[in-house]
Amino acid sequence: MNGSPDVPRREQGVALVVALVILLVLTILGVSGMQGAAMQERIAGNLKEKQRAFLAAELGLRAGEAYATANTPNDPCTQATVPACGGINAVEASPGEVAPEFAFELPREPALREITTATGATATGAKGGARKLYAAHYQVDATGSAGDAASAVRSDYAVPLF
Amino acid sequence: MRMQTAQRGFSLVEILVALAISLVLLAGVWNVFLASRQSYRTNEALSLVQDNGRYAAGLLARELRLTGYKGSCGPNTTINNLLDPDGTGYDPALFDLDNALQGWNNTLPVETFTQGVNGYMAGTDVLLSKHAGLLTSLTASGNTPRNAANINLTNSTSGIAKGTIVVVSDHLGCDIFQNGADASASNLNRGAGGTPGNIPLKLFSHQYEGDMEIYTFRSALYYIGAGTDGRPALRRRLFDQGSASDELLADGVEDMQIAYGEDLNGDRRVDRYCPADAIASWRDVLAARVTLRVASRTADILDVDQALTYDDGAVDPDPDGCEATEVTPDTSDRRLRQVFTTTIALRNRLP
Repeated sequence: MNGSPDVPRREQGVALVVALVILLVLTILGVSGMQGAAMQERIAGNLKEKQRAFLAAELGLRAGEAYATANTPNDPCTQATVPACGGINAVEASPGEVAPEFAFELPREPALREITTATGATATGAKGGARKLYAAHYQVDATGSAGDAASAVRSDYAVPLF
Repeated sequence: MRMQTAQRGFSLVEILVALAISLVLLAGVWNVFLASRQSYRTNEALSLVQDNGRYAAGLLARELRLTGYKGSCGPNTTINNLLDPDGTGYDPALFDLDNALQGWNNTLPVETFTQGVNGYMAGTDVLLSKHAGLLTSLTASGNTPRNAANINLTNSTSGIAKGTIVVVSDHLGCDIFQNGADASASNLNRGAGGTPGNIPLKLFSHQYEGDMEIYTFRSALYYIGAGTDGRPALRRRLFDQGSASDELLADGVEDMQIAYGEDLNGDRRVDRYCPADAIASWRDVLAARVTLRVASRTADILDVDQALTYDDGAVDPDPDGCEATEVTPDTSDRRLRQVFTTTIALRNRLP
């Protein structure tokens, strides 16, 4: 056919067109597959960063609670002395420790709270009747970050005074 | 007229060869198409399964982490219950925040509050969780004496619907009651009426001041029930408003198995993970390990039956204690299935 001098050599381009069409189809398939994979990876990455930020904030919260515990005076506050149970307010203004991944703060004065009425010996060993137990009550705010994700948590934390 | 002799037609051999070649090509393209369609279907099913699973696990994690939260008044302070224990639909299991967590292993308990759950799937765990972790932006105006029927707000409207159960707290204590005022009112009211309603004239635990924190109450029964198209789904029955309302959370969740981390010796550390029927004291449960099985919406995604076996997450060092129960679901419908497991600390019970 091609050898015939009368035939225009038109259909020689068909192979190119067919190849291009097939290539186009394969490219569309490949790109859509890549997009799906990239989306999945973004989801997984975001989830991971969110978890890390949350855990860092949780760590900050733990650090803040430990700080509150360590800085609350250990004096047994008896019922009589509670209104003047001094020294506790000193913790209030502390900025908290700051690490790259997390930070915490204790934004307000701890409040004294009656937690229970116990019967029996006091902390100093004296025998007594009913006795009220108190706790210093803090609010701890912590933030954590990982990559672009950030997380903020707050806890109400009581340190028993006995 | 110039007639070309170009259109001579093809010879039979030429047509046969051309047909054979194009058939081979078509077969190849068809195969590629089938494979890519299959992988698209699988991918889409996998995305949906993961989406539903992530959402369900994340939601349960958030709710469980908050379980037992009572505002400023900590776990050692008993909440003052102003709700009417004789009121319609009152059940301590639903409204007692001091006992905030309870579960049932592979069974739905026969209780008034489980009447009307939407299509419970047999053999799945049921979880009841309560907390007051929904902080409102409301602030109290001035003092609220113990005998006050209203809590006056600085906000012009409360936005809290009539019938919503509210927890108020400060560092001295906390109270729970049902709001009897409209959402458009500038106060909260704890008068009679409602389901279950309040005890008339019962006093607040103490006089509140302007620093009162106002939360709305969450009490929810999580279970596997009927979802879209009658397929299983994670649902919950809410008692936030006193009377029950049911909502669909995540489609495709077929199974929920929960092992609870229980402290046996009082050191506030988990000693074992056991299913609900082995828990000695719900107050000593410090963590929950939730296992969810999620299936794709469409069947016949996979070419073969998926081999899937998982357990309920129970771990007990005591040889006489509880044992993990293995689950091997029927996968002959060839849905794509995935198992999600997460362990959540009950933040309000940690030391």
